[in-house]
Amino acid sequence: MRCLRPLAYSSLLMLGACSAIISPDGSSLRDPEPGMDASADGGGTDAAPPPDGGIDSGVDAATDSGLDSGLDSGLDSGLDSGLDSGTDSGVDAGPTCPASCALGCPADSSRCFGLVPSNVPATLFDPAADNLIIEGDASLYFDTSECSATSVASHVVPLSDGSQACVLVIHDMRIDPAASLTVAGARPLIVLASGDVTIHGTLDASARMDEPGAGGFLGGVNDPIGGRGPSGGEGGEHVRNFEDGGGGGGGLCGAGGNGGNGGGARGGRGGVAITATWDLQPLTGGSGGGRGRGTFAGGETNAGYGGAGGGGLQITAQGSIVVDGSILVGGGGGLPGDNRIPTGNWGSGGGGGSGGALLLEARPP
Amino acid sequence: MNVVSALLDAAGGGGGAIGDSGGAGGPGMDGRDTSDRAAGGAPIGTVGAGGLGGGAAVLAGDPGEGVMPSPVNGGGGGGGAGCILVRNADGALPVVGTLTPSIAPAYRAMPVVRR
Repeated sequence: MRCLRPLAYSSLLMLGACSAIISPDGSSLRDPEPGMDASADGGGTDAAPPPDGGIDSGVDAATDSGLDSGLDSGLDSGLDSGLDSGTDSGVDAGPTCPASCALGCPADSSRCFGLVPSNVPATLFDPAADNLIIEGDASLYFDTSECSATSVASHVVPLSDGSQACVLVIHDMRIDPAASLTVAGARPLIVLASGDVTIHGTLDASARMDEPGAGGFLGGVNDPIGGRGPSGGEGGEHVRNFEDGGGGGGGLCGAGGNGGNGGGARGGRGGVAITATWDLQPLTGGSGGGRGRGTFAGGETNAGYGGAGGGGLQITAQGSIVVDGSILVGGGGGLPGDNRIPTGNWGSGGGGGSGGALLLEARPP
Repeated sequence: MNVVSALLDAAGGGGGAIGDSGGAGGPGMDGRDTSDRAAGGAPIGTVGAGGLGGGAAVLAGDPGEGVMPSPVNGGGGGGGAGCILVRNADGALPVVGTLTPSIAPAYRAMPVVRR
């Protein structure tokens, strides 16, 4: 069994409770689905995050797990078994699509269409996966850099641009109104649910100042001064003390604002808006803002660091997604200059990080 | 998909303000802390304020403030809005209570891919 770990926010210590259902008191409960194998590593997807990507291992694991033909069983949740259901016996009217096929059927077939997830292969769906339930006022933290959940299966999967995402494979997911799941780390997070996802509470993959959200990019720091990511903000110019340009804001779907000029010093350009037709494949987090400028000595500067980019988050459910809580992938605010190097010049401000990327995809309820 | 009275927040962060000799200005607001545009940092003294982050009605971050002539330092630019994409059976946007950002192209809908 692998665990998502509750976060003690006051100390940022990770507690070691291991549970599929997380209660406010940290107790560990089990929630086996009726008739479902309660194995926490269900579906044979118990592979350590492979350095060269988990797609192949995921495919093999799903195929080897005894599930009904991998792809189709995962995609159609058993609806394939009703090939002839709904047909009028005795009348040769051709294939009829069962009413239970939420996405319809191909024209020449009564086989239900399945949902194809963005960014990852459908073979990673696992109908026997565990539920992830966060109850009461429990707060969980998950690090996508480690990508090693203990209560549900997790995989590192390559994306189309060669980067990686962390994938949690679950059946149902529920976050209670006072509960939260905070996600950070170097990789964006993809949640693959064979069932339903209900978020009454908070799912937070946003940046906090210069700390990126999951898969978000850093703002400009000492070196380089430009924000990182798909459209990072440029660092400001320096002419002399008290004449420093501010850092540009990071861009994603919206452009970052230019940094303010400081006397004759030009502010950094904001990152441009990326194309509006981007379908969030590959999934990525937001761009960092550029650093301000100031006095620079000893590898340090008193310029404000750029805010970090918000996280990248994808939730794909074969059932429904219901959100009456909050999903957050906002960017981080830029930092002001400071007086680490006491010259009287407090330096110019860093640009804000851009918001991140949120992709929700589901069959109808 | 049913998204009701939810906060889907992909706002950009506000730019940081600066201080010259009177102390540091304020940091920009994180996008997560608002359902609107994240505020830029507050200025102190003869300085430039940070720009607003992109958000609900305006996707682009605002420029940081600059003040002429010198001596001044510029404020940071606001971060741009992020992206929200919803894919469901009919490619229609669900009902949403509070959304940041709330307008195209940062908030779009597409049909799911079927097989």
